[in-house]
Amino acid sequence: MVSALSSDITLRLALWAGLASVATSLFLVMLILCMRGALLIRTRHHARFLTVWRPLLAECLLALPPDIPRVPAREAIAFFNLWNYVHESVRGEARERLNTVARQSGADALAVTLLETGRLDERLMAIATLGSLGEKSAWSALSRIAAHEHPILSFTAARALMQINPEGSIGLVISSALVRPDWPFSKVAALLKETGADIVSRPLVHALWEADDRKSVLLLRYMKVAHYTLAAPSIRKRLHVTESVEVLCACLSLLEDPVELEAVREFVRHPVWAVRVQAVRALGRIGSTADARLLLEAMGDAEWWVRHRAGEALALLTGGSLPRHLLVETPEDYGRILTLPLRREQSTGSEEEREAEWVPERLAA
Amino acid sequence: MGHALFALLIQRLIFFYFIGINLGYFSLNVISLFSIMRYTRERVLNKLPLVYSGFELPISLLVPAYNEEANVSESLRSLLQLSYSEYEVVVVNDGSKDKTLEVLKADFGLVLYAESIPGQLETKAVRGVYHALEYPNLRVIDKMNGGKADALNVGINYARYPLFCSIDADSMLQRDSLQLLVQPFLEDPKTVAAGGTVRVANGCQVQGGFLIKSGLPKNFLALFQIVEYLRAFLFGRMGWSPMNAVLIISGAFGLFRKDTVIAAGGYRHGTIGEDMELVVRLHRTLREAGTQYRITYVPDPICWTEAPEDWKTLKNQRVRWHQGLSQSLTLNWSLLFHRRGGAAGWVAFPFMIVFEWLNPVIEVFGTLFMLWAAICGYISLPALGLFLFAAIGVGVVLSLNALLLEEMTFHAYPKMRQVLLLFLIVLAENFGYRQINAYWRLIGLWRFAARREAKWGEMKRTASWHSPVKVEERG
Repeated sequence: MVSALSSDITLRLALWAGLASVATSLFLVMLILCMRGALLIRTRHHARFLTVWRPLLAECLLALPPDIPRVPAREAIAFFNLWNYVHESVRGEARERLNTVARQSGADALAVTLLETGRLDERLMAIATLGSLGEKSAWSALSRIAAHEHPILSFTAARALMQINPEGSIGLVISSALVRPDWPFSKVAALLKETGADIVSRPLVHALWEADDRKSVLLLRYMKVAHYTLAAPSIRKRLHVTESVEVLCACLSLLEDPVELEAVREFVRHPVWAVRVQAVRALGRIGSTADARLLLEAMGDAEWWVRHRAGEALALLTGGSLPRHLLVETPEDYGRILTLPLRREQSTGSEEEREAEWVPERLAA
Repeated sequence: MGHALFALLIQRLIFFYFIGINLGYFSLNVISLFSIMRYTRERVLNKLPLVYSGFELPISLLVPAYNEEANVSESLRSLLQLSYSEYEVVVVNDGSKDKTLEVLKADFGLVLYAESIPGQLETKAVRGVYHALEYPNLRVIDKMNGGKADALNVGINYARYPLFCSIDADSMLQRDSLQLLVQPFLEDPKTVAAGGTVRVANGCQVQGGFLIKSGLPKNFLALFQIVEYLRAFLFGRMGWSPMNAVLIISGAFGLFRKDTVIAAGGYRHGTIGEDMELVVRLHRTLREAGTQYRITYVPDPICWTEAPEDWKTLKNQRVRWHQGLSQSLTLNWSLLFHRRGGAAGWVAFPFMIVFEWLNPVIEVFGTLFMLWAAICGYISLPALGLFLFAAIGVGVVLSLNALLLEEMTFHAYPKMRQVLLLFLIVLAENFGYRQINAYWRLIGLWRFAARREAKWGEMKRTASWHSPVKVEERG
């Protein structure tokens, strides 16, 4: 029996599995040790690199260094890393001096080379560098990459284009953002904000005039970075013509002036609660004390969020001091509390007294 | 003859199981390897300074605390210093028997503040809501004891922001952890949950609530757990993530979309592994509803946690974990081979059943069987040796692969002698530690099968970065 089992194929497989494991283990140990060795060597090289370049780039904050060495190709990524880090951390003339250092050290040419031939991480770093440098010669290559299917690559290229020529690329960025769901909203919005309201407002407004409801929702969300005075007419128009709840909510969330106050008051009684929420919030921003009663009514809404936002809006409108005759009409405990945010900070009594003042059950009593 | 045939059949069964589990893990390893390489290349620009735009998704950090008087203030101070554009910290004191609340009141100047909430999830009664006047983004909710799941549900009810992150009160986040963990939500609006990496803090140096130097502990049990955590996260989670089949997000560090979790019913009361159960339930409910979603793992946001350094605590933890795994799977059976189950229902769930849930049965009884068969002469001693040789060899390869992934990415242990020590641990864990672990997990399975009520054992924490303390976990 023993011999029968011993000669079984499973034993031979076990033997081979064991031997293969030993071989693989030895290989992995050697690989890890080699990688660690390489890492230690890289760390030493990097330390040497930093002793040269860190003080040199730091000097750029005050003046252009007199002697700028060339960046060897093998140190390109380390240089881009450090240079971009410093570049993103400073503003004004220091950035210009950093750009000069990058050009005189040959880093711009290295970036252009990596743009086409590098690995993904090298290309990303090269794109970021060329964008920060404002390298106009890379425009066409970057425009091609901005249409690449890889979302991070294409978005990084779009950002670089905006850094090089914001007026020339804003149209491309907005139109791409509308058709590329893989470009994160927050990153596009951050890019638009970074570019500045002066540049992005008109193209955004122009796009909104022509957009359908689906695109309008996105554009209205981006509109937060635009100048309100420029955006307001298109927002008002959308508010009146749209049948989309999403667009309506987005419009209401943007209103900053009382021109549409009457319409907003009507939306407080809209059948969709999401619209009512935005309407009461808008009322908090643009309404007057005359709207307190309407907000009190909203605090009896069937939906918690409407009640909650109405309470906040009421606190905003009345500055936390709702007239007593209205306070007693407040339909729910939390509503009264929300309208009294100042008391908490003004309270000087003991903890028990503060508790008596703030625990909802006691307030209700 | 009958016994011999039986022995042969069992031997074959064990062998095929052995092949299956290792092929599975090997596949996960390969997927992890490529995923991690791609991930690190794509995120190269993340290291540059970030300017917050105000468009980031705000996050509520939920910190359930039970008898955490020794650690809670220090943990909170580090949480309040995280770098992220907009977040709040909601501590939920789950009816602690010690002075957790008093310590918080004294250290953070808490005052009672009544607050209305939508109350979407049913929980035990809340006794009071406290605001910290000096820290506008800190609130403490004091509630009746109801367990961790209940505390987290209270936290969800009070959370103001659309994303919430559950964090253990005794864990530490790296300063940029939130910023990294939120990325999947920004990049893909379908993302409903994301988990980061949890690492063993034992042996590390901490200052001001943040880890300043990583290191290896002297305690050998903690050393074994370092390798286990590397395996579990770097290829366990990373392997499943590209398939959208991550079934476990650690309760110590996970980020969730609040409305999705509320729609799924929140954390389930009475479960031990409430973190895993929630994730499996999210998969199940979203799959059943045909909703497009993503649950993902992000390797670089790191949460440091303390690993048990004594046998009793470790045993309790492993028994509980396996009970939790059992509950998570059995409460969500309908995900298994569901017609819309995708990789979660057709690959990860069956894999989890066969190679994780039932694994201790095969491992413990398989080992006992082989010993019995060798003693009775049904297999020869050299044959037994060969099986052990193969089993240990493959185990070593898988652990070394986790070390390789670590070496390719984070280099948390920078010294050469630390790497050499980890090699030794990879080898040593196969001689006793893994077998004992399998036995503990078998106990967990037994307790689950016997419907024994889940109990939280006594948790001994050394908290080497704080003062030593022993606390009793919730009962």
